[in-house]
Amino acid sequence: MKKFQKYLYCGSFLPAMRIASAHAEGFKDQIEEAVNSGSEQRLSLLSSRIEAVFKTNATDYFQYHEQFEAALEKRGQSAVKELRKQMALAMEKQCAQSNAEVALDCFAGKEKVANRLMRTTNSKPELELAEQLARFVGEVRTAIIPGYHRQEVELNVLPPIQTGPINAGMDPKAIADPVARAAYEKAIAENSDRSSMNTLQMVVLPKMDQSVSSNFIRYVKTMVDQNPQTKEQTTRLSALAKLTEQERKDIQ
Amino acid sequence: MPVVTPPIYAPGQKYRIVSYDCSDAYCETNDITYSVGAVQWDPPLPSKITSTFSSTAYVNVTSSDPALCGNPGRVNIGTVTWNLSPSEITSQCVATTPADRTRTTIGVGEVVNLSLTPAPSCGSVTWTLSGVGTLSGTTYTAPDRAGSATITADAGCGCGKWTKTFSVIEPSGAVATTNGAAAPDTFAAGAQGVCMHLIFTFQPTTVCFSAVQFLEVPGPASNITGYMTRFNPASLAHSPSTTWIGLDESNRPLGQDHAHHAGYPSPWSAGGFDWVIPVAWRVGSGNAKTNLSWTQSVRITDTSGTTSVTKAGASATRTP
Repeated sequence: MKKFQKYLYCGSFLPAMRIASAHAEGFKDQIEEAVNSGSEQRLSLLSSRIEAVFKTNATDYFQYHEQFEAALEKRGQSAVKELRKQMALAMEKQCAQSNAEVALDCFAGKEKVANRLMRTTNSKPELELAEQLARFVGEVRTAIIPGYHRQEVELNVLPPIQTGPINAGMDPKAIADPVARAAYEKAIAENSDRSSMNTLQMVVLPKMDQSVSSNFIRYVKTMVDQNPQTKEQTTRLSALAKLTEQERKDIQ
Repeated sequence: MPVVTPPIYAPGQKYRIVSYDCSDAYCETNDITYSVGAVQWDPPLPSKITSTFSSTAYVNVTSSDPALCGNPGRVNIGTVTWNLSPSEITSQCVATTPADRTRTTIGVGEVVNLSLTPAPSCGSVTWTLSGVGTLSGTTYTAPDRAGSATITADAGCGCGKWTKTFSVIEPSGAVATTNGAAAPDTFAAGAQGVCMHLIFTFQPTTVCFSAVQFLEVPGPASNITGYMTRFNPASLAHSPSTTWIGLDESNRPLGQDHAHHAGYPSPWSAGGFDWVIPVAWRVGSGNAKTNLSWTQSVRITDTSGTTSVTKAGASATRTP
């Protein structure tokens, strides 16, 4: 996101979006080529490159991952093994709570992977995949702060130190005094953190909890229906997913 | 269809006594049987029952010797009443605001739970989606752009098929009101300054946009006139928060706006500037769409430094 903000302050917002989009488009071509080649070596190299992106930019990581998975899914049966591998890699990622802005994109990206995982295997659910889903449900539930209280956020931040004419939402560069400018930039950053946390805790995670948990329960029920031997695993899966007592009853 | 068991008429014997003048009574015995016809319904059953229907099951019983043992005729077995509510797809928006959760016009990103009630007595229901959005089991999620979606619940051949269509709409704009609950900013006596805290409500409020996030897009000041022309235009540019702000179920941001313009030195004269603010919105981490906008106008109206600010229908004025 830092890169994104740099573009924002250097020019207008829309070119920044186009730059990000063009970058993603370039990567998309490389993904298509590697997948179409069917070469294990190229796929492995591509996978390593995408995995490396997660450390620096979770948003880009899940964007590339989605493209990679879509290309693999398009290839059909010949790429099923690789698709499973890639989905498992994405599902292993931990969406850090420390930075709410990153967590927002990380959870959203992971939910897309979970949905693809269920969509591609719904007709024949598997224990290993159910476990991946259970861990994700558990992660979402762990990230939710019970009784979260909405923090004050403003669309346009007021510079905290007035050294001349000021407008809430003015460009920090327009403040000549370095101390006043630094205080304003700090206030903007803190406002952003609070805003991301509000969105994460009050909108994104509650909605995600509702959808992924109900999908997970349905997935496990289908799995047990089709393969009664897996029934003995439901207690363990329920614990991983941090299901409520009622949900545990529903899954039986 | 109920199972109707017709009555069984056991075979019997007919018996008559004939008297003669000079002898004992003469007894004569002969077998007699009864035939039970097929079960019939009065009124006849239709091929398909769709609501409430009553009919009486009966059989016709005939005697093998109606002259001596008459035909029992119609014998009622019992009356059956069917009370059927036709199955239909019912839907409930996950958002509890607006109050009508069964509405079929929904906002981008809204989630709707579906069910087929009453459950059909036959077949196995398969749910499918035609159109925009995603369907996971019986949960429909609207996409991030306007469109139409038809959900079909198919219970199989001969059992039934039901559909429900949803119209997905995008935010059309927002209106702002001043937030009376917010503590007003303070200004030194004689100093220029004006401020208002605003709460936006995204429109229309007939749907829920809680999946939407938005932000104001930075841009230059325009329409710079009079007093304001003495400042470098770059210092008047708009650089709002670059963080996406979520909406609650009432379509209000999880935060307020702060319009504050102060510290412009005397001598004052008429003049002002506008921020024509493009507004970008998205659903989740999806692609942004920048088709909305509102304007924030700042005006110093006289030499006493009276300043007004207006934005999206709300306004404030203050004189130093």
